Order: sequence, then structure tokens, then C-alpha cells
Amino acid sequence: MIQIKKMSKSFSKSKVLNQLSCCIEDNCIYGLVGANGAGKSTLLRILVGIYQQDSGTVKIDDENSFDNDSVKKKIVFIPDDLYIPNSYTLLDYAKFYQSFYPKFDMNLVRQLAEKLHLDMHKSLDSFSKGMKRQCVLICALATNAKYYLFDETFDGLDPVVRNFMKKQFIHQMGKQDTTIIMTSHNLRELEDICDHLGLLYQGGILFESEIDQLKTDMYKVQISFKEPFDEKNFKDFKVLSFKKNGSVATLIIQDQEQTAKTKLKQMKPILLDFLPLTLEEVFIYEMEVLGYEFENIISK
Amino acid sequence: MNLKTLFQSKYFYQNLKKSKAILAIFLFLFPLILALSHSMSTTQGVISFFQNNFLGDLIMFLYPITLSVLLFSFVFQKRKVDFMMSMPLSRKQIFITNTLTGISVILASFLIYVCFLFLFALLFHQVISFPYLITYLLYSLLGYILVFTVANLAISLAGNFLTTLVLIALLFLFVPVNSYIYRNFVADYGRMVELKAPNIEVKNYNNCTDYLEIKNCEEQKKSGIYYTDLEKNIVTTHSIPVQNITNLRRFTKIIPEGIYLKTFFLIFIMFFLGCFAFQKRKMENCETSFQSFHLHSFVKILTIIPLFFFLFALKISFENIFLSLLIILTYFFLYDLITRKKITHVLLSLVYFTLTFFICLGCFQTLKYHLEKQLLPKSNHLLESIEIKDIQGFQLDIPSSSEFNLLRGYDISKITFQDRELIQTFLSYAFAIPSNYISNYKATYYKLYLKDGTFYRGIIYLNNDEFSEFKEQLKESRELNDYLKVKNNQILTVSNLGQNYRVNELNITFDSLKKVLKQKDYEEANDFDESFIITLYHNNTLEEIFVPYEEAPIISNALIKKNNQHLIKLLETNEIQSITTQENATLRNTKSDRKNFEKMVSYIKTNHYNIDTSQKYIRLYVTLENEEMYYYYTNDLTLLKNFPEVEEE
Repeated sequence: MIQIKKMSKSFSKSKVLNQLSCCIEDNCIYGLVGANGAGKSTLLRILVGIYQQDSGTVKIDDENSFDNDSVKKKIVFIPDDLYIPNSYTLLDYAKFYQSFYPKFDMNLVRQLAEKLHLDMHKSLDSFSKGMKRQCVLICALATNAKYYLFDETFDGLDPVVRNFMKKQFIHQMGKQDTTIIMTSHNLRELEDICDHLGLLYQGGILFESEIDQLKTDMYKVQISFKEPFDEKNFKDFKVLSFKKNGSVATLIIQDQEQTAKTKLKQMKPILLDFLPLTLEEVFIYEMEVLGYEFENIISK
Repeated sequence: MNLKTLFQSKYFYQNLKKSKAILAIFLFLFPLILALSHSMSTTQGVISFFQNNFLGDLIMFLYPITLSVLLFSFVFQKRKVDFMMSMPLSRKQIFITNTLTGISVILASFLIYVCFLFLFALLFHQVISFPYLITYLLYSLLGYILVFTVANLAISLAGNFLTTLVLIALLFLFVPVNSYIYRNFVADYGRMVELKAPNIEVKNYNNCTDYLEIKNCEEQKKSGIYYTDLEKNIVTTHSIPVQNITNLRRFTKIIPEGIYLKTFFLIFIMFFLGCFAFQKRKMENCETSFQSFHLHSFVKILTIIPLFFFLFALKISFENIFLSLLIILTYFFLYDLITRKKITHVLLSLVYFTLTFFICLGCFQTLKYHLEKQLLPKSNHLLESIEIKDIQGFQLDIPSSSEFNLLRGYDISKITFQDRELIQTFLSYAFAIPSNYISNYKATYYKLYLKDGTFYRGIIYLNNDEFSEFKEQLKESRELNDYLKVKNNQILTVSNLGQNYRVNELNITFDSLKKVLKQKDYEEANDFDESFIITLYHNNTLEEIFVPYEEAPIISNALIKKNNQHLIKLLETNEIQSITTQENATLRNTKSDRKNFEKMVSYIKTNHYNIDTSQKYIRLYVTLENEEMYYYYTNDLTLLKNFPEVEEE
């Protein structure tokens, strides 16, 4: 489990992380979103012990993470800007990781490289940006570490490989206790894989929730009645959005008690459809509730 | 945490693996250049390790700094920092493993260097002196490792590559903790001094020396001011690399006492400081200078210090205002461009520049004042005046083979003679510098100590009469007698054949010596070549006893054996030019004599060093190619048949 309490980090005069507190449970995929410069990468670097926080505590499995090699053995970190030593092949790169991670699975590297058509004996210098990232990701997966920290995970990967990698992550979680923290400035990338989401804004976690929880709390409802109606007819509901187009209205309703569906049916509408919300929509309305403009805190 | 956990062998292996190409340069190119440069500097076919070797000095810095940058420069690139620092290694493990990797590479390249050296020696028919090789290897190895650890510390502290180089320079200037550091940059060790000595009668024929070129010398002499050529000895507390910097223009060939220990100690200090700095290093400071402009400017001004010393060492004078203005201005802009990739705050930069310029000018003037006052010799200008009352005493540094054979080579160099009368006599001789006929004099080095702790080195020249007179005065001096008191009734040295030996060096017993001494007084022994001299301190008097060989064969055999062994050892690295008998029959390596000459050489080289002086023996004069002549003794009289007969005149 990762526990961060009142952690701050500044670079020169600018405070990047400010009194940040959060707790990341084991066996989950935690998506960290935020605009460019929100401090996502800095947070990951502090977790892996590259940077040291100015104040507060960062504990991984109840141990301080900074400069602690026993904690670092449980973590593998893949930054957004990759470094590969000159003229290294995938095999060399895998061996490099193998020398540091005792549970490294070279067979997995071979299998995944074959599936992705990556030549293990070819210099990585000649690979494209996306291929390099594929190599690095499969090496990271092969470490069998407990914590995976991926910064801008799918940057440069085509949609097919993205899906392939997502499946591998889920497969990895099925094999052993694994916690994956992945950052992105794009919500859509994380939507279908993360089970937890945290929104980083102005150096702190602005919003944090389970995705399933988020989605089940809100509905998008399309509704129509014989008689004319307006927003006032729904004063018993927590309506986050109301738009009426002709005789059909589209509502976003927050319903923590799960009673809204029954109440709406009792109003005997001539049309009643419950539509799934995209994660982005959920976020937009949650942010609006908190008084923020979604566009200001995340870049699409 | 033990060494095994601190040293990560797998990381060590990966370190070597990921820099294969550059390692090849370290392991082959540098050793090759070094071995070639040494092979080219030979003295009579013997590889000389400590001759002026600018290339060797340069490599001592270039190699370890490059190696350090190779291993640690990842700290200057963010993506490399991410890669390396995310590996499951603590900072201490990374630092220690990298340091040990560097030291291993240095060690390996030294091994390869030795292989190259032997290869070249074989190819070019050169001889390697093992004691010198070992000394050189130890000297260089410690030097390389110190530069490496200093570079590691600098990288751990610095924010970028340029600052690293400046920091290395700064550390080398200040780490040796030497307040006299600038002296070594700008002055040689020796300089002339003026000594006022009104109560001394210096011999007329040899004061006002030709080479002092003082116009009014004769006038000053009347006022009791005499001159001599003295070297002021400046005590250095440098480490090996700094020793090399300071001697770029004049390498003394002398390895100062305690330098290994000092360098070793500094290596440890640098290592621990480096390790500490690396653990505390903020890894986010990559590829940029300081964010704060003022801090950046402050560090920039600090970096002027090594530049200032460097320019001073190159004799670029700050007296030329425009040149110095140009240099500092160019440096300021270059520094900004390299560390910040742009020039900002131009106006404020100029303010800092003006401040720095005036500080540098002030420093230069102060330095110049001190140097002119104390150090820099100018022609026709003597810098220092020493009064007799300032003198603490003198020491005589007599080499064992010197003709200035005060006590048959017995080491008295540690005795400081402080008797005022003796000092006056000594000075009257010390100031007597013969100008034309030095070869007729006995000479030795001396050290003149002042009461403030400084000392000067000079040479004292004495003719035979003066030598006898001075020797008698020294023998009677309180200091010498105090020193020898503990040696009462002991034999100090046994000597002849141009060599002086302590008794224990000859492997003979005191009993056998005492037996000789019980016999008659041998001072009348005529043939100096066929007798040895025993120096002993007996009944509080220093005595010398001449003993013919035949009277004490045990001792003379030991002496001659030692002499022959010495010659045979010399023949390992020297060729014989000629061999001459007592009757002047000579064998040379000429066409007509070659067969017999080679036979003789081969006989001598076959370690025939034992001799029995109670039997008939012959004495041969062996002249080496460097014109040095040695005796060779043998009982094998048949060897004389190899020599051509000497025609009677």
C-alpha cells in the first residue's frame, strides 16, 4: 500500500506538490490525471525515490521510499522520456533489468517480443519511438515487481498495441499482487483500464474515486412526457444537467441512494432511457459540483 | 550494511557492458600512449619514468576525469537520471559501485600499460628498471585514483559539466590546504638571497661571484655585505596530482616524503565526501544552472578563481587591463552560454562583471606585491637579506660517496650545528664561491636554518686545507659529540673502493672487527687502494684507522664482494667500454680484442664476486659506457692472459 501524507515538493520558487495526501490500495490500477505540469511525473519520481520530498511522508508498504533499495526492488518505473543505453538490443535491455530484479521472467520478454514482432537482437537505436516503448514496457512487465509506475504509459503506441498492453497489465494483475499507477493527461486513455482515478490539480489530489462508484452514482437519462414539462418537474432529484430538445429532455442525475430509477418510472414517462456516461462526462459534472471548470484542470 | 551489499557486482558488470567502446579507449589507447611516451624517454637504453613527460601529466588528469564523467555524468541528463535512479539501488550503492568500477578500470589499464611497456622494451631493446617501474606505478596509480575521486566529488556537487570542470580545478587548488600554493605556480623552488655578514672574513678570492653580476659588489663588501647563491626551500604539502601540476615546467624527479600517505589520505577524504554529496544530491538539478540569477552569478564569480590562477600560471598578466578585460568578459559570456544557453540580465551581468574585474585586479596586485617581495627573482636584484642573528644552525647533507667525506659517509645529515663560532666559520666558507676551479674543491650541499623555521639550500666548496681545518672543527663540535655519544666504542663505518658501508651491510661481525682493532695502529698504511678504513667513535673521540687488506681478510673479502656485486648489478643496465689491468693493459670491444673482451665480460657477469684477499689476486679497472670507472677484483690470475702485453717504455 502506498500512503502519502501532507507531502510537498518545490522546484526553486514554484511549488509543484502542495500538502498532497492520498492512499493507493494494493491490487488496483490507479490512474493519475492532470494537466501538463500538474505534478504527475514529480509524484511518480518521488514514489520511486529519484526525488526527495521537501516535507511530509511517503510510505510504501510502511517503509520510507527515498533511497531505500529494499523498497525500490518492489517498484519498476517507466518515465515518459525513455533512455536506452547506446547500441543496446532488447535482449541487452532485458538482461539489464534481469540483473536488478530477481523475479525477472526472460521467457515473458521472448513471448511478448514475438507477439509484437520485435527483434530481440536488433539495436534499439534503429527502433521507432513506439517500438522502443513496447520494448521498455515488456521488460517492465517481466520484472514481476509489485508496483508499476508508468508515466504517460501509452505515449506513441498505436491503438492495437495499446489494447494489447492493457490486456497484459490485467493479465499481470491476475498472476500476482500488483499495483499499477499510470499517469496521463488524457482521461480516455485510462477509462477502460483503471479502477481508481485521482485528479491532480494545483499540487494536490482534487478528486479521487473508484471508477465503478463514479459511474454507478450518475445516470444520463433521456425522458419525455405527454404533457409539457420543464426542469421544475425534477426538483426531487439531484439534477446536474438538464437539456431539452423538442419534447425530449436529457438529464444527468446524481443518485447515491439508487432510488432515482424507481421515482422516474413512477412519473409515467412516454420515453425513459438510461444511457452510460463516459468517464470524461462523469468528471465534467463532478468538477462542476466542486465549482471547477473541467477545461481548466485537464487538457483534452 | 557490508561491502558485499554496497558493491553491486551485477551493476558493476552492466556498467562495463554499456560502455564497451569507451572502455576500449581507456584500456588500450591510454596505456598505449603512456607506454609509447615512456619508451621514447630513455637514458642510455633504460626507460626513464620520471623525466619531463607532459603527456604523462596530462593523461593523469584527462583519463580519470573522463572516466568519472563516463560513470557519473548521468546525473546531468534527466532521462538518464530517471533510468539509473529508478533501479533498485541505493545512492550509496551506485556511488560505491561506480567508484570501484573506475578504480578497476584504472588498475586494468595499468596492467595493460605494463604489458605494452614490456613489448616496446623488447622491440626497441630497452631496459626497464623494476624499482623505478614499481615506484612509478604506485605514484601514478594513487595520482589517478585521487583525480578520479576528486572528479566524482565535483560531479556530485556540480549542476552541469562545465561547473564540474571548474570545481575540479577549485578542489585541486584548495584541497591540498596549502597557503603557499601560489608560490609553486609562479616560482621555482630556488632563488638567490642576500646575506649581510659584517663580522665574517670571507676569503677575498671568492666572494663577489661572477654569476651574481652585482655591480657594486666590491663596494658592498667593504660594508660587510656578502652574497651567495642559495636556494630557498619551499615546503610543499601537495598531493601527487598537484605535485605534477606544479612541476609541469620543472619536474624534480624527487618523490617527496610522505606523499603516498598524504595522497592516500586525500583519496579517502574525497571518497567519503563524494559519497555524502552524492547521497544528498538533488537529482532534479539536471542540465541547468542555478535557477536564481544571483546564485548563478555568485558561482560564476567563484569559478573565476581557478581561471585567475591558470592565467597567472601561463604568465598572462593582469597588468594589461584591456587583455584581462577581454578575457574575463569572454569567460563571463561563454559561461552563461554553456550553463544557461542564453545571456540574460545583461545590465546586472555587467555590474557583476565590473565587481569581479576589480576584485581580480586587486587580487593580482596583492599577489604581485607578495611575489616581488618574497619570491620572484629579477636579474640584478636580490630579494632577501638574512642577518647572522637570524640563523638557527646548519646541516651538512653529505652523500655517502661524496669526496666531502667527513665521517666516511656516516650519516650526520640530521645534526644541526648551532654553535655560533662554528656557524661563523661555516658561513665564511659557505660564502666562498670559487668561480673557475671548482674541480679542485670538495663540495657538499648544506641546509641553512633560520629561526623562523624556513631553510635554504646551498653548496659549500672547500679546498684540501680548508676541508681539513673545517673537519677538525666539526669533529670537536658539541653537536657531533652529543650525537655520537651513544655510539661510544662502536664502529661507525668501514669503507674503501669509493664506497662506505655500515658494518651490518657487510655481514661481518663486530668480533671480527674488534680483532683487527686490537692489532697495531695501521694509520701508516700506504696503499689506499689495498686497504680499508674503519671509522669509530672511541673514548669520546672520532678515529679513523687504515687497515691493509691482508691484515683482515674477513673484512676485506666482504668489502670486495660487495664492490664486485655492485659492479655486476650495474652491468645489467650498462655496457662495458674497456677493462684495464694495473699494468695499463687494456681490452676494448674492438675487432682485434673482441673475442677476449667478450670472454672477460662474460666472466665478470657470471657472478664471480667472491674473492680471498689472503691469496694472490688481481685488480681490474672496468670503465662503463658512461665513463664511470669501477674496480673489479678476482683471484683468477689466468684472466690476465686475455690482455695484450704492455710494452715497457
